[in-house]
Amino acid sequence: MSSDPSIHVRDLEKSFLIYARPEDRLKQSLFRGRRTYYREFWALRHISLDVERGETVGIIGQNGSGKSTLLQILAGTLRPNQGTVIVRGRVAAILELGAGFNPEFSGRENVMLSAAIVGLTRNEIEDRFADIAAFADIGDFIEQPVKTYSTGMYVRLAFAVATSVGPDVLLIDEALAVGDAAFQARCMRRIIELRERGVSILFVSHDLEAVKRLCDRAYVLRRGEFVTHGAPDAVANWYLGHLASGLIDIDHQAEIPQSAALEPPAPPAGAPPATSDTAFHYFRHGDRRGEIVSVDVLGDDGTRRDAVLLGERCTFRFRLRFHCALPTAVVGFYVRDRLGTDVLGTNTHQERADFPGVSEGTELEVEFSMHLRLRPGFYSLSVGLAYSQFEQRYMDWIDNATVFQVIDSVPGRVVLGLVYPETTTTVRALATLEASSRG
Amino acid sequence: MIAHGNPRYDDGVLQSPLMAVRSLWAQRELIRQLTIREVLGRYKGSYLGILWTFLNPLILLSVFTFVFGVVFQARWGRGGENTAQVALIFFAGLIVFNVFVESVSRSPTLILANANYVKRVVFPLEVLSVVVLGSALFHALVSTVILLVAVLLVLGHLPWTIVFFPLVAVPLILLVLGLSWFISALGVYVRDIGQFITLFVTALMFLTPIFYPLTAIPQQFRFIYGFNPLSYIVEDARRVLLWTEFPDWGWVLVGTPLSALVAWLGYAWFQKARRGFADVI
Repeated sequence: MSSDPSIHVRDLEKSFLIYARPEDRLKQSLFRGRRTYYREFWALRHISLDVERGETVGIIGQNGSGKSTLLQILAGTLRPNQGTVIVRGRVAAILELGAGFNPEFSGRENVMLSAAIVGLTRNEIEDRFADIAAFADIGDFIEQPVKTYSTGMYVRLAFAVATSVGPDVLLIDEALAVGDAAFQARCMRRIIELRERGVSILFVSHDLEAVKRLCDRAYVLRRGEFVTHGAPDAVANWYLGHLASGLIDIDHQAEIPQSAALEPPAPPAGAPPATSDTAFHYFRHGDRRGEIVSVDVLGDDGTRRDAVLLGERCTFRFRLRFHCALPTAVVGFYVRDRLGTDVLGTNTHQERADFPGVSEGTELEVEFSMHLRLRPGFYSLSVGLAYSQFEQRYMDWIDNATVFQVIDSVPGRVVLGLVYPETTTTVRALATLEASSRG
Repeated sequence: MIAHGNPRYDDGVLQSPLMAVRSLWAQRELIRQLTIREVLGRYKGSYLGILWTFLNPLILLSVFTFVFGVVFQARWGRGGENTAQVALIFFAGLIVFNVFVESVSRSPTLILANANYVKRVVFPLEVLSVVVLGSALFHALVSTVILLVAVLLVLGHLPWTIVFFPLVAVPLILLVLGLSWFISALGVYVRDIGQFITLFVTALMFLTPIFYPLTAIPQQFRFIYGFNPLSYIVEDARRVLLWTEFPDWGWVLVGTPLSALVAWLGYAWFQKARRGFADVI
């Protein structure tokens, strides 16, 4: 095999023609070109995507975003209006729940048929049948008509077949959402096995955890277009953020001013590398009607710091700029440790700070000061600017806006918990019981 | 541009006939499985099951013998001097014609009936026509065996010319396949085609010399039958199966490549038309 990508898509477009009434379809064919009786619905637009051999790529998106259409085109059941689609090698797809199974046939017959559809010879099919049956693990049901199967059994069999026919490219659509934990774990193992064997996998899901666990890269599909892509964690976070702030559904999402005021922070020396599981991934979302312009950690002496001492009084200073008039707003933050635990956090509403009304162009500075008595280590600061305490609508939210370190100035001291509270410790002798008095 | 690991995803790019044959050959296991299912499926749930495959032609043969032999007192002339012989002649013609009918009359709804294979899986849709033909051929084979047993009983011997039967069958197979591809693809877009085909098949049954010899047709109309390839095939089948005669070599030499052309055009049409199946169904 060459090093060409297994899946190569360039400028793919797919539209469906929607007719309000059946007779419009007829009219259209009679008056072809002169009038239009249909509404054109763009299912996919400007889609470009490469999946290298052995790579697993996830596609995240809500229902109706075009995920399934894309998979169908790659599988070959739908044809695009325009664009380049190159898929190299044998393709196996789990497109819909148990798609292609004939409900009247037994599980065994369906396995045989599915394998034959992919082009396996009789001997190959017989060789693999035991393996497929073992993986599906549905016992004697394999001899029963598929219509008697539960959803879980259906998927098990479908997954077993699709992964056993020796595909070069595997397309999975939501299938893993069904089935018990044990089966899902087996599916994961099987997918990892296939990936190691050089199978390219395109995985469509709204299960962000699965995407994070399985994929090398991920894309977000929204209304038929890729809106972002990158490392699965970052993309999943981005997606969650947009989902929470309702932006995924707002039409004018593309008009968000992309201020470059804050770039992902350069981690302090010794901070965990950005690729590890415990890294602090920067991501930002919000409608940007108000912006967080800067985020600083200050020490007791008022200087900007990468590191603060355990117990030192330090200050988180945020500068804000508003692009609209508002009676009030809320600014808050979280301090998060390497494992992603929100160690502490608060906001201006909580602290009963007087937040003034703002108008377009207003700039504000907000400071939170406290004694940080945290276990030495790396922490991140996430900052949010919201309309109110009670709705999850953010003007600006920066996850892991900056990273700082807490160091202990007392040599040899070990902090046993997350927090090292100011503690008064006394040891007092009460009495000395004599051993003889017990008898 | 579209290229797919799957050879059948060809975006209507015309494959060479050799590639088409090779791609069908690659699907032989699928064709085998589906054909078996097709044959068995027809009688699924019935008490006599596969036995019907034998009973159908047997009963048909008996009815023919009665109606044409006893009621109409039909005589054929050459090689059909008595009731039993006439029944065999009709039966031989019908075997050939039934292959045509079974395939062609199912073609208009063939793709529509398998919408699942269009929309939900990557399926080599062109094998559906092959499967329908395969099932028809199986039934024809059973009928032919029954016919030959009857021939042995009636004539007392088997004509050695049955070795030429495959030569007679090849044009039929190619012709039917080509028509089936053509009609099944058309049927997806033009649903009225089903009505037309029903009429067409019924008319053709009487316009093919099955129940009468070609010689019974007035000379001035006989040229019409020249355009009906089935008339050559039916005649040839009777020659080699009943009368110990050679097939019409002229037809074998001209008809075989012509039928191959029909098959090829049908296939090309099908591959071109299938692009839009998923959008229409």
